[in-house]
Amino acid sequence: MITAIVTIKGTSIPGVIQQVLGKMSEEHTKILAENHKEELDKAIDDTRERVVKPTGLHLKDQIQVEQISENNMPGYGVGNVDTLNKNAPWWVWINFGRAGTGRTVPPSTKEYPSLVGHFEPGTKGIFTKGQPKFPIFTKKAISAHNFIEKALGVMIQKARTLLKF
Amino acid sequence: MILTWELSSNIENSIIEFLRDKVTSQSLQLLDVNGVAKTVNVYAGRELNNDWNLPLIQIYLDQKPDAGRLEIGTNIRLRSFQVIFDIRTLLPGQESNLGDWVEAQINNGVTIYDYTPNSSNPEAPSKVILGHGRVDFISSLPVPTWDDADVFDKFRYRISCKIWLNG
Repeated sequence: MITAIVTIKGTSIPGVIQQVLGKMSEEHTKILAENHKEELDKAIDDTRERVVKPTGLHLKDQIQVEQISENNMPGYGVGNVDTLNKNAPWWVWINFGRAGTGRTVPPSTKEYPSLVGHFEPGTKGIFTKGQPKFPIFTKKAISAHNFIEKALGVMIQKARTLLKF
Repeated sequence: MILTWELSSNIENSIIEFLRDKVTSQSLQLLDVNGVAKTVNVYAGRELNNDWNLPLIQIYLDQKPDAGRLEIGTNIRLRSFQVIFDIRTLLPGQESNLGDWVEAQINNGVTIYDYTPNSSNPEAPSKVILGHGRVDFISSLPVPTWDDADVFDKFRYRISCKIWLNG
């Protein structure tokens, strides 16, 4: 709640109010975006089925808070779809349970003979191409993890707490 | 003690039963590509089953995002149960229409039942009213389509909502 407006010399009261509200709105969207990023990361980690791969691009790293502007109103967004489609296209598969190619079951050696490798030692180790080389015959579809909906579900309640000033 | 259905399963099944009743009472059907009317099916489960028949509404509990205390000094929680509705249809546009229909049906909430196994008729467990589940919509939008998507994913719509249970 605004309890006082400090006037700025040469600026009308409505102009000052607009400036204050604009700055507050920008701060609010930034707080929400940063917290939304945290909740998306948490939802991805909470539903992770295998350990984090040691190399390569990771989904979480491709989801970032970005400053955006619409009608000269600055704000913040989280998760640029163009970036995700380019650097982590499997976001669709993880969220909706269906890859952009239409498949649900990961590829196997039967389809791609060069796809051979091994599962890294340890619990829930990931499949890695290269020595020692064993075929992989995948059968189980990747089910929907719904990390977008999970984060939204938490943020709706969290936003009420975050925006209390 | 054999643990039977707890709150999560009760809520999930109550919604499924509610929508199945609505489909039946309204004789809800959608046309296929040949103009043949197909009854809308309502299924439970996170994983798609290839034996399911389109058009369909797939329902499952996804998470329990809220568990705040109802008031200071009590362990009674105000919980929400986030449910996913994956709607899959045979023709373009039907998925959005069916999504609208689902939203309209559950908008006023759903009666939540407490189910007890019925050994003499497992398909019809006995039930008593547990409360009224209020609905808060979280998201409602078509799932992106892909060139090679199979029949289950060509025309798909997803609704997520929170069910809040009053005592």
